[in-house]
Amino acid sequence: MTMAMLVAIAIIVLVLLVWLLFAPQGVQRLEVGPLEIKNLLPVHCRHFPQIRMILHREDEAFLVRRASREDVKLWRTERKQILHLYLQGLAQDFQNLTELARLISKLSPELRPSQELELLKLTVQFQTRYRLTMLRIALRSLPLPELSRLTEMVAAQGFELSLLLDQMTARIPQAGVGAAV
Amino acid sequence: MSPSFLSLVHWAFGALLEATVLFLALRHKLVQRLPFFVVYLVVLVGNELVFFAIYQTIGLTSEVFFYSYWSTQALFILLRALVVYELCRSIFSAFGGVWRFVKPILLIIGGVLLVAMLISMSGAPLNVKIAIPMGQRGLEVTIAGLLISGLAFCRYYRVQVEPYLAWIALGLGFHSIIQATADTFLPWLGHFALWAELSHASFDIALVMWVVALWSPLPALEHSRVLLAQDEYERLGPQVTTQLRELNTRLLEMWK
Repeated sequence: MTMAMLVAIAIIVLVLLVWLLFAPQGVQRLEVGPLEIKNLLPVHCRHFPQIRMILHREDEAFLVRRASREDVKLWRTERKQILHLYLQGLAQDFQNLTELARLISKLSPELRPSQELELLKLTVQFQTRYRLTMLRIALRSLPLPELSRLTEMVAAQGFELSLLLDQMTARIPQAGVGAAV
Repeated sequence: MSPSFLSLVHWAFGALLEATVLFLALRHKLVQRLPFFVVYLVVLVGNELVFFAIYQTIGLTSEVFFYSYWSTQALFILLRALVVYELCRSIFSAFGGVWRFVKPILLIIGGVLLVAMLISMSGAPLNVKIAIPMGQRGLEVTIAGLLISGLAFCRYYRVQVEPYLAWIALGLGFHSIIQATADTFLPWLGHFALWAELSHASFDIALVMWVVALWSPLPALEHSRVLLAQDEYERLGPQVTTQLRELNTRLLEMWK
């Protein structure tokens, strides 16, 4: 190991230390209460039925028959953009759910290592897959069946998540309203 | 102005900074929050007085000075390791569940780093001039590693670090990192004076950081936050995890 490498490692560790101590955190001073908890629950998934209508596969067949090639191309490009935004929303929902999971852990008297480990594993997996999916969309267009399949899957997920929202809002104790965590 | 006079001025400046930090710590009753840190400061100031007496009576080149110096360095490292543990405990004090979860992990990390230090030292020749910097480097790396691991957990669980604790932690981490780097340089350069200057300068900077930490009044002591009942965690945690797992699976299915 050369001296330059050693100095570089020392600088990196120092920067990491400063970042850990002083960089602003993603979610700051959350308030424990139903209204604030709602901010962490998935919202984008709820709009996926509308998006599914936009991405309906019959629409493309109809457009291919009736519209010019340029118009169909433009329509596909815009649809790809919608998928892009949709995936960003999905990632936002995932991020919010992980924040909620950490908030629950933080306020709990005893944590289960297996559950905490799974949360960490899922977060790493999702972030990796999300970035790879975004890359895939950027590099080549996805065929329509895949687009529709994804939309249907996430729309179903959105329904389940909305059920979860209602359950959790009811369970978070009211006593902690206003207590910053 | 002779170099020895400069060294004395530097020494006096360092001792003054140490006394200032101790004064501020006592004034803000820091002993109630970070007792090991206050003990460390007391030992530091006491050490300066003792060493000044040794310097006046026996001199810096004597064996007594050599062994006294390195013995106190070992004591300081031990105390700084305890301060790191204390800092982590203080930061997580409001979140008992997280602290009970994090504590054994930090102990394992510390153990692994110590074993790594011993392994790295196993092949080294039995020479005091080589063994001491290597041992010190290993212990400093352990301190820095523990501090960074503890802070990584803080960030993961979004636990806010009070500014005064952040500055104390930065001072400790900064000094440990620079000291570990200087200890690695020493066998290569073989220049003890340069090593000593690096070490002293980094410690002076750490002292300035601790003055910054304790300059303003400390925030009120935080008590344990409102906690969920254990069964709430047992019910809510798996539900959220299941949802996350599902979202992950869906994203993965896109690739099939």
